[in-house]
Amino acid sequence: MSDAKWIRRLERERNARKEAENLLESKSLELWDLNQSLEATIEQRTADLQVALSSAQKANTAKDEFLSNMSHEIRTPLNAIIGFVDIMLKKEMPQEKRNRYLGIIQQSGKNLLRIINDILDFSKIQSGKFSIFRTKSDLRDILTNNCKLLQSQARKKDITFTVDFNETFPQTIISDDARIIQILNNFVSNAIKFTDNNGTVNVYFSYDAVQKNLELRVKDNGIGIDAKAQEKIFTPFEQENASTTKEYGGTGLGLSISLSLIALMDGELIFESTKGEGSVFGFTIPIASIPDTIEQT
Amino acid sequence: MKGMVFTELFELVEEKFGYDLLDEVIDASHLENDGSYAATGSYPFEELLRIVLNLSEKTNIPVPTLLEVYGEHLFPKLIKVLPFLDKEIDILDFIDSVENYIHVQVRKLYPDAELPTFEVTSKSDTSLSFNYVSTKNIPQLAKGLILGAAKHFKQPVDVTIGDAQDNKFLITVTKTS
Repeated sequence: MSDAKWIRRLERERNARKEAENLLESKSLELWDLNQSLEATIEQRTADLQVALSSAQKANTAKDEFLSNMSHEIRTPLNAIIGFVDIMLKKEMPQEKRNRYLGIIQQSGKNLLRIINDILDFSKIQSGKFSIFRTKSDLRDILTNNCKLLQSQARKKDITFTVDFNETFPQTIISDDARIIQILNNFVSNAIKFTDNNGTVNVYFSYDAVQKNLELRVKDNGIGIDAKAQEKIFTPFEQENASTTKEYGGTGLGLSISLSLIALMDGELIFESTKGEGSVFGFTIPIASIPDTIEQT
Repeated sequence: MKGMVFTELFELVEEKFGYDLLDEVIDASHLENDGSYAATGSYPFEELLRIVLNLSEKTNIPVPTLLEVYGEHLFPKLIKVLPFLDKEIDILDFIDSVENYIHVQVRKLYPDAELPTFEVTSKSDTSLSFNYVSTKNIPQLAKGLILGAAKHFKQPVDVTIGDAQDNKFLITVTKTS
């Protein structure tokens, strides 16, 4: 047999081997690439899971604390109601005393209602079932009347309470006035709560006719919020710290609800605070249109 | 077509007819790579057809017979590289699982594999019929593979291939013991 034949067969085998080796190399490379991307994916997933786990744990802790605060918050007014009703049922008493007790019962009932409303609002917002209803209303009058109610809260602590509107603030406006009032009440109640006796709380409403923005600022010279805790206070069930809750009470839902309401109205939060000097809470919300019949006052 | 089908065919030709005849077949087939196939590569099916036609011419054995014999020879080799094929199983159940299990696994290993479709039309304890659907029209290779499987699993069968309808052949496998 000729050498040429064998050389040709060897050549054929060598070429086949080389091709097989090339295929092997490219498969190895493919596997290596795959392995790299798998490792990266696993790292990413692990990191994501850790973030999710830690946020779930935080949420859980906050909810636990919330539950224990809540049972206190709910029990206090309930105990007051039951206790004072018991006394009134058992004893004859002068009308003046009766009225004082009835006042306490009424206030406790109102506190209880506020807590329950907060919880209901919060769960509605959480489940995305909260809607904004914009209607035409005399917002200026509504705000003024509501501030009169807040005035009486401030008076109990001898706090100087002022309310001002800018010149261009219209009489009539299309907005969700109930939600604006809800935010206003939350900001002002907080300001009064966290301001010492004889302090000041200023409410300022303004309307920017060019930007078509409605702005609210509630400024106090109260205890202020520590820079570190400033993000935390908008988180549901959280307050500046546990001692705040003990000292001042509250559900830790108010600011979180207000922030959500502002967002639902496409607005922006205004928030500045210095520990020991006071805080400003407020918002700017866009007003789609103002009725033609604007009455300037 | 996977390179293994070429390399195993070459080995069978070398074994049965010798190296010189394989050289002649390769020459006559005018192959692009001069017959340098790697088992894990992929090559045009049309080259395999040319090789089988030339082999038939040189050996005076009809193409269907060659394909059948080759299929029978190929099965035990396939089992070596596709270990999930080797299990204690009824031969008819095995054929029944080709479409939904074996081909699925093969595609995981070789995403570019071109596989025929097995549409099972009837099955009893002793017999199974299926439509072999393939653009390659080589049901004889399938028949050979089934015979090879039957031998491997030690469960002898008869295999008949019906007439072609479009690209379909009805293949019936009947147990003989």
